Parts: sequence; structure tokens; C-alpha cells
Amino acid sequence: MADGTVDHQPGPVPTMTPVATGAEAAPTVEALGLEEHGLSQRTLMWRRFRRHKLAIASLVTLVVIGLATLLAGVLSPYGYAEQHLDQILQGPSAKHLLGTDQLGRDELTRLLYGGRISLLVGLGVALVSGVVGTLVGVAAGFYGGRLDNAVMRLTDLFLSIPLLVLLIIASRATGGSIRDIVLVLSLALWMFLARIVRGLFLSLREKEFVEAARSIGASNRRIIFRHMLPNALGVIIVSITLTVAIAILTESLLSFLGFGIQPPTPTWGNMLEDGRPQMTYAGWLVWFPGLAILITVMCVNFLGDGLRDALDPTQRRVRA
Amino acid sequence: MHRMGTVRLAALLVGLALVAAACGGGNGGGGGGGTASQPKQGGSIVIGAEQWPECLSPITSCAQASWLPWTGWQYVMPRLMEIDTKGNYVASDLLAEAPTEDNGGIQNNPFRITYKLRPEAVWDDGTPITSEDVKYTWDVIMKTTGTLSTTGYDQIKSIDTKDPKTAVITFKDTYAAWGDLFGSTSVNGVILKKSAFNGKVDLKSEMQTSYPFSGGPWKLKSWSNQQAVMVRNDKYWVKDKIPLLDQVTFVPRTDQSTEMNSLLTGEVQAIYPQPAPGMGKQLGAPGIKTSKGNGNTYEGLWMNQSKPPFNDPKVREAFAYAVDRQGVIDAIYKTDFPELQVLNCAGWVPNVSDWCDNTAFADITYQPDKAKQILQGAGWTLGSDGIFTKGGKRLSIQFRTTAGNKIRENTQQILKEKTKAAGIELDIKNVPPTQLFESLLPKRDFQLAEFAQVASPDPSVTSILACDQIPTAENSYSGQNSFSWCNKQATDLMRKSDATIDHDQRRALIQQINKLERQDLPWVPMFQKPLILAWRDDRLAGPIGDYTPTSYSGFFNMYDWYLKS
Amino acid sequence: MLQFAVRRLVVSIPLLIVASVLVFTVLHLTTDPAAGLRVNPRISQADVERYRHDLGLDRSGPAQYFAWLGNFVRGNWGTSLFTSIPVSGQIREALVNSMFLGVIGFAIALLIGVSVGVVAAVKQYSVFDYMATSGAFIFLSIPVFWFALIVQLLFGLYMVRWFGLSEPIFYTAGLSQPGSVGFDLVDRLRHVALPAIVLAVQSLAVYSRYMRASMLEVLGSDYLRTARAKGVPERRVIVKHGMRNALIPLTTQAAIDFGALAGGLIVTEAIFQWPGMGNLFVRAMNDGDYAIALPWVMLTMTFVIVFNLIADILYAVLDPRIRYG
Repeated sequence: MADGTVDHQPGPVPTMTPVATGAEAAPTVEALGLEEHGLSQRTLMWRRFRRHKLAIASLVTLVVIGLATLLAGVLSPYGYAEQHLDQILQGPSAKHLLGTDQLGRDELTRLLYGGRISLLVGLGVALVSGVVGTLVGVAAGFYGGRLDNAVMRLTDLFLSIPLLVLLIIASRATGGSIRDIVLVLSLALWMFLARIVRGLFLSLREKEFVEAARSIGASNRRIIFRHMLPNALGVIIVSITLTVAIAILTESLLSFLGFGIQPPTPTWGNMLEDGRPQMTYAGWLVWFPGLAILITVMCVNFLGDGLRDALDPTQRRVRA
Repeated sequence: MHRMGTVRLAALLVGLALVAAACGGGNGGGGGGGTASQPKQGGSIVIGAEQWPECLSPITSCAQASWLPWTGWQYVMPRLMEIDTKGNYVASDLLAEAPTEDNGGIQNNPFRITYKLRPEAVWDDGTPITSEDVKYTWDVIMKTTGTLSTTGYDQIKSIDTKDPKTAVITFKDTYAAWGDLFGSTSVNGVILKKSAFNGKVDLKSEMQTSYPFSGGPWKLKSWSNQQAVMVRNDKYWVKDKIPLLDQVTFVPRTDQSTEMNSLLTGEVQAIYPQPAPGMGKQLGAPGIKTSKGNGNTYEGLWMNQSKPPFNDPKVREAFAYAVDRQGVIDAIYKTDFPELQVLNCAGWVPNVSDWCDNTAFADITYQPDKAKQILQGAGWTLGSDGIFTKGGKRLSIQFRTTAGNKIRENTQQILKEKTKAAGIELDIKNVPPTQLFESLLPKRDFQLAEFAQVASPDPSVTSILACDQIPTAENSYSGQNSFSWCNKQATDLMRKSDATIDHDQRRALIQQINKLERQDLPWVPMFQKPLILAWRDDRLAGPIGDYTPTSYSGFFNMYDWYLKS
Repeated sequence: MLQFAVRRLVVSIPLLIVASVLVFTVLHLTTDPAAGLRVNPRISQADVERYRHDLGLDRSGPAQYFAWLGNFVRGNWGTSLFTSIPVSGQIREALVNSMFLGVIGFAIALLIGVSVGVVAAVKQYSVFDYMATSGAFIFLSIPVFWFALIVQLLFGLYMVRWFGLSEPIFYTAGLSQPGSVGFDLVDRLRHVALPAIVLAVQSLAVYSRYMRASMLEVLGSDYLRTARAKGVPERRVIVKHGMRNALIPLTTQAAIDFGALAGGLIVTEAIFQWPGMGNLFVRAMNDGDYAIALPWVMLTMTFVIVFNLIADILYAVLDPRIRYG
């Protein structure tokens, strides 16, 4: 999933076919080896996924992280904005397991609550950009013709603007609420899935089963949602998963640029950025949010890798 | 196999070369031992600048940036009056003496200032600096397209240049802030060399990336968006201010983390950073010395009287007692700036001349119970959630400041916690600086705002506090009295003070204004912004740090800095 | 092919215009260069108004935009909004600096990425493979600005402290030695090293994964088996037949990445004080200087579009499925 600027982390590990502009590079139905099959296909997918041990371990880790952030209130006696002005900038201790920041706030508490928001943003962006990207791709791929042209022009516009530039422009125009951040990040990421789905639908359109469905009078909507979309689901799921990784990383980038969620609400991104100048003497303020991001994003990437193996057999990898 | 061997050898040689370059290189480091504090000539240093101006012109846009004089014209251009380390107006090196009423330099009816320029004052090409240059500068400031400010210069009626070494400036009316013109710490406080511009008066396109002359201890050798190189001006007429160093190079270091690291690795030898949490610890590294001071910029909490709840003076008073000024200082600044105190004057600071004796607001300490009493007396009742209500409305105050400023954000957090104990809730809603200053303040669309003002050398506060400076739709939102304080008596005093030349009389008037502010409480002064200069004590010596708290930045006296051997 | 390329380029021109309108609108609505003036008690309202008028900022949005556009299409990029410094010169200088950093980082990333990918594929499931894979994932998942700081500290501060140097071997900021004139290659390399490492490491991870994946596919393919059966030495099999084909998908990705270099690296340049395109854009956006921001966006987009086009052409030309029919 190339993104056009090397400054930004291309989180997802790329597939065999690079996603350049134009439909020529998008995967086709034949390449994916998908046809209308059904249950046995699903069992195959699950079996393939189970073999990817790293992906399973990552899934477990993510669940644990997610639960920890949800149980923040239970796991920690402090509030995330609770100041202890007499305990500023202290290292990890019995009272504050991960130390305190410059206002004496407990780092562990902030890490847990911050995780909630970072994960929320990640999932939110993945969902929003996934839905938008899919809808756009379906519209373009299914209807073709002028709608396709118009839509692809729009997609190209967003793809030609460097990612960070797009983020800066969008962030200037919006506020700093979670909803705004999700919107801004989704605006920057929807195009990739749109292009893939479009390519998929363009080739799916020509398949016999679509002809058959049409001949018996099925409506467009039915054809799309009942017959074509299930075939594209694998690709879409992988893409959405990998977008979570990019979204979490990019959220931290927004904090670096000065946008993003404003204090005192913690996110892993703004905690990392706030702690950065203090790394040499208050390293705990940097290492913990940094590692939180690193581990979470790595796990999501591994998970996506595993899902791709299971759902998207373009790989044809020589795996034992 | 052969190829691999050659490659390895080459890599080894390159590596050795790099290490040799690092060990042997550096600016003026190394060398034999010997006494470190003998001033000696020579050497060059690098200074890190936290911001970088877009261009060099002291007349137009770029002059807004405070780092422009600090990395540019203040070392290169002459001025009329200057500000000393105590905040007083004194004669610069260009003047033979400061104009006073006693020496006839200041005359009334008409109001006229006579500047006597030193006969030996010359530009770097040897030609004398004359009154023609002063008049020329006035023309340039008034007539250049995009000129930043003509305030004050539009009060000048004429400049007489009959005597080349005497500039006689006649004003339309008595103008007490005359010292700010062509000098002081104003954005365009310079004297330009007339003959450098072929008589052109609209200097819109001039001085963008170079200065074609010098009238100061330094010359600007070259400038780009990555460095400003200053070299010694041998023609400077004050011999003991001719720089000891051969060259000073300023470089931008806009990321604060990088700025700190640059000093710690030795890549730059001095920085003048914005105070940030924990800075003191980092700068406590061996080989680094710091000098701290309180700046002329002061932070304040500004309450909008044109809307509830601050239209009620009782609420303002209660709020003042709910603000823990000392608590903020203790939490944020005490470790790094132990000398920082609460500011008790409303518009002046103790280290700029003697207008402020720091007592007027001293009784405003953190007393949440007193605040509660005052509110209850004004008809507010304490709600079940600990916040006062009246007439169904909770005392929840929208609190705005500039987004992206860590220290301000921390300050807000602390204040928010502390005002809770007094039953007042602060609802923090920060906005980008542009929005705050361009739209919310002029349109008076705020309840409580935190931002800074500058205590200029001239103590006039009329443009901020006078009745006719309240921005409204009728006057196209001009005026800086966004908090809408109108006290007729104070305004009259302000006008009178603006026209009073006698220092003692003026001080008396100002202290009366201060007392009226304490009475009406239009805003709560908090503290001065602390300033810090940090340098490599193992490389640099001299009276470094003397100018730290001034508006000239701590680098001002770099003509006296020298390298340790 | 040529027709296709030309058509694609022509169709992209309206995109540039739309983007410029977008950027202009955002700047016009969210920045006011005169804001800083208002806080200064020495500057009056009359000053502010005159200043805005002199700079042409009191005109309406569309008036300003079309005035700019009219000049731009005639090749006159004008000067910055606030200075009299020509925009084209500023952009050119920034572009050169960005390309210097970009090409070096890019070259390092390609060289190391390809090598690592090939070795990892050939020695699949070995220790090297697992280390390379973990390394790649770590570098893909670490926030850039944190990694840059670690690099700065390691090679800068800590190296100076541990070895008692008077200055670091690799400088932590800037383009060249302050106070120097002219171009000194060794000095430049010492300055570009750290930002280039940060840049390289991000792409390196991607390229090594790409190379590994495509190499694995090629290694199991028929024509490689044929070559082996014919007795071609293993090394030649890998390098001549395997790598060449495995490089194809990587080439298209590399072409796309190269096109993105023109946009500079906003984060890396900010931290390492590198005066490139990224830095220029951030300054222009903060100042509200649309005279710089608009040409910047259009230039950058053009690069991206052109190189994406090249990538597509390369893909069509090089794809063995097309070639071997």
C-alpha cells in the first residue's frame, strides 16, 4: 500500500503487485483465485491463518492491550489529569509505576487512557476510510464510464498530494477533537482502498455469475452486495487492518506537527511528542508511549500479514 | 575477493578521516592550556537561533520577528536612544549625550528634541553618520510600501538637518515616548545610511538578504535562510566595543530538542531558548553555564467586562483570589527559575525603569475561601458539584489561550485545578494564535484569555487600557482594550502621562493608574516571562549574560565575548 | 504508449488547479499575517490596516487568487508575500537540498534493502531471515520523529560524551558548517549522514520486504528451475535470472517513491534543520504565504504525477507476464 511519500511510514507490508496509479496494477479476480465458492473457502482461510503463529500472537497481544486500555479506570487509582505538583518528573517508583510527568501526573494512567484514544482513532479511521474507500471503489468499478472517470480524477487528486501536506491542509481547516482527527486521517487514507476495490469490481463485472444474476432480474444493489462484495471482502479486510497501523502512526505525526488532540487529554502520540525534549533526563516519558505505539503497530502489521496470507492468496509464497 | 578487500580498506580510511576531522576540527577548541580569562582577539563561534526571520528588512514585514534584530540589525545599525540593562533610556554610542531638559535637548512649545551626534561616528566606509541619515530614515519609515509601523513617526512635524552632526526633531505635540523613535527596542529602531540607497525612499525591495552598510560593532558578511555571518567592524568609533571575536555565525535551530542537543554536542556555543519544563536539568550538564533573568514580557489573565460573568466586579474580585499565581510559579518555574516572582503591577515590570514597585497587587494571593465569600455575597450559591450557580447558570468560564504553547497549557491545567476549590470552573478552549488575536480578541468573543503583553521602555499603556481603545463594530474593531475596561479617571491620567516629560511626575501618574487598576481589576497580572541564556562555559568567556533580561537578547554584548584558550 | 502518457499528463492539469484553490482557500481563511502586529502596543490599528493594504491582503480571496494565477501561468512566480525574495529561487534552492538528501537516502535504502531482501529470500527461514523480517517490521512501526531523536542522541550527544570529542562525527543539524562558504563534500556528507539514515531506514524496510516477497516467488518459478536443470551455477541463477525479474515490482515502487522526494520530508527536515522542500512548505503554511505554498504544491504534485506515470510505464514494459506472454 504505497502512499507516495517516504517520510510517512508505509505501515502495511506491500503485496506482490505494487499499487501504482491506474487500474492495470490492481489485483483481478483471476489473480486472486476467487470464485463463488462458499464454506470450504472459509475453512481454508481459517486454516491458513492459524498457521501464521506470529499473527495469532499479535492478535492476542492486541486484545490484551485493548482490554488494558478499556480497564484503565480499574487498573489505576489516578485520573489522567490528576496533578501531583510535589512529585514532578519522577522516575518509575512504587507509587507511580511508570513515573510522572512535568505536572506530576501518573504516566501509567495516561498511557492507558491515551491508548484508548489512539486505538479509537486507529479503528475509527480504518472503518471510515474503509467504508468510504469501498463505496467509492464500488461506484467507480461497477458503473464504469463517466462516473468512473470522475471518481478516479478525485482519487488521483488526493493521491498526488503528499500525505503530510494533505494532513497539514486538512488539520488547519478543522479543530482538534477526536472526530476531527478521525476525519482528517480518513481523508488522507481512503484513496488506496478505493483504487483496489475499483480494479476488483471492474474485472468482477465481467464474470459470468454477474451476467447470470442480471439475467434473472437481480437489481444492481443486490448484485453488488450479495454477489460481488463478498468476493472482495478479503482484500478489504486486510486493507482495513493495515490502515489501523498507519492511522496510529499518523496520529502521532499530527501531534508532532502541532495538530492532534490537545492536552490534557493524552494520546500516545501527544505523550511521545511532549516527552521528546525531555528524553535525556526523563526518558520514561518517551520510552513508554513510544514502545506502546511500536508494539501495537507491529502487532497490527503482523496481523495484517497473517490475514493476507489467509484471505488474499495472491501471494503464492513458497511457504512450507 | 580482491574487490571486497579494497572496499574494506577504503571504508576504513574514510572512517579514520572522519574521526580525524571530528577530533581536530571544531571552532576554536583545543589548543594549549594556560589562563582561561585573558581576553584575546580572534576566533569564531556559532550561536543557535530558535526562530529565523524571513528576510532582513527592519522596515517591512520581516521586522515583526523578534529574532530579526537578535540575529541581524541590532549589531549592525546605529540608533539614537538605547535601553540599558535596567530598562532606562540612555544615549547610544551615536549620541554625544542624552537629550534632557537641562542640557536643552528637550524643549517645549513647540516640543522639540535636539540630538547631538558624535563627531567621530562613521559608517563602515569611513563617511560620517549625519543628521541627513536621520531625516532619510524618517522618510523611509513613512513612505515605504508595506512599512510596519509609523506610530510615533507620524507625530514628527519636521527634522532639521542644517548641522550635519545635529538632528533637531520638531513634533506636532508633546510626545513623551520620543525615546522610542529611531532606537530603543522598537521594531524599526534604526538609522539607515542615506547614501547606500541612492536616495530611494520606498525601500520595499531593499535589505532582503543583505545590509549594504554598517554603523555598529559588527558587519553582516552574508545571510541566507541557514546562517547569518557577522564579522568585526574595524571602523567602529567606540574602540573598546570593537569585537574581540573575528566572526559570529547565527544558525536556525527551530526544533527545541535539536537546539538543546546542538549546544550539548558543541555544535553551537550559545542559545537563548524559550523556557520549557525541565530545561534547567538539561542545561546542568558540565561545560554549560546559564544566566537567567525576568523579561519585559508579562503574562496576564484578561477578563472580558462586556459580557457576563465578568461584567460583575464582584466576580472579577472573587476570581482574582481564586488564581494561584504563586502555585503556577512553584510548579512550573521554581526549579529552573528560583528568582521568579509574582508580578504585582498591571502594565509595568520592576526591571524596566522604576515605574513599578511591585506592591499594588500584592494582596491578591490565593484565597479560595475569600473568593467563595465574595461570590456568596454577590448572590451566587454553591451547587452540589462544587461549582457556584446563579439564576440557573453555572460559574463555568471559557478560558482561552494560544494553542500549541506547552507552558501555557500547563499553566491552564494548574489554574483549573486551583479555581475548583473556589467553586469556579474553567472550561479550556484553546485556539491558534491567529484566531485569538485576529478575531476573538477584537470581536471581544471571549470570557477569560491568557496571553502576554510587552512592557516597553516607554510606560504608556493607553492603547491597551483607555476607554476609546475598546474595539467595536463602529470603529472597525480597532483598539486593544478587548477586555472593555472603561474608567474615565484612569483614561484621563493615561493621556496626561503620555504628555508628561518629567520622570518623577510621570511615575506618580502611573502609580495612580496602577491603583485604579487594582480597584477595578480589569485583569490579573501573573508574572514576567523568565529568560535564559545558555552557553558553553568551556569555550566562551566574558561578561556573557549581562543583557539576558533585556529586549536586546542575551547576545547583545557579544562584542565583549572571547574564546577561552 | 506516448499517447497514453500525454493524455494522462494533460488530464492531470486541472488537478493542479484544484489543489491550488484548495490550499489557497485554507490559507486565506485560517491565517492572518497581521495578527502578530496587533499584540504590540506600539503598533496602531492604522498601521495594521495600511500594512494589509500594502501587501494586498485586504482584497477579497478570489481577487488575490486570480491575481496570483494570472502571473503564475505567464511564468512569473513572483516574490514571497512578505519579502521581495523571488519564489522560484527559494523553491529551487529548497528542491536542490531536498534532492541531495533524498537521493542519498534513497540510494542507501535501495542498495541495502535489495541486498537484505535477496539474502533473506535465498536463505528463507534462517536466522538472517528472521532478523531481517523483525528489523523491517520494527522500522516500519516506529514513529519517525522518535527514531530521528534516537539517532541524533546516539550519534551526536552520546558519541561526543563517550569519546570525549569536541564535536560529533556526524552533525545533528544543518546543511553545512556554519560560517563556511562554498561546497565542501566531506562537510556535506557529515551533515547529511544522520537525516539520510533516518530517511533510508523507512524505505529500506519496505524495499527489503518487497524484494524478499518477489524473490521468493521467482525462486520457485519454472524458468529458474529450468536454468538450474541446465546446470547454470546457483549464483548466476539468483543474480541473473532471479533478481532481475524480482526487481520489477520494486522498480515501480521505487519510481513512485522517487517522485515523492520532491515534496521533501517534513518531519526529518524539521528535526535536522535541513533547508529543504518540507521546511519551506511548513514555513509558508505557518506564515500564510500563499505565494510560496501554491507553486510548491503544484510543483510537488507534478513530480508525483510524472513519476507515477513512469512507474506505470515501467510496470507495463517490464512485467514478465506481458513480456513472456
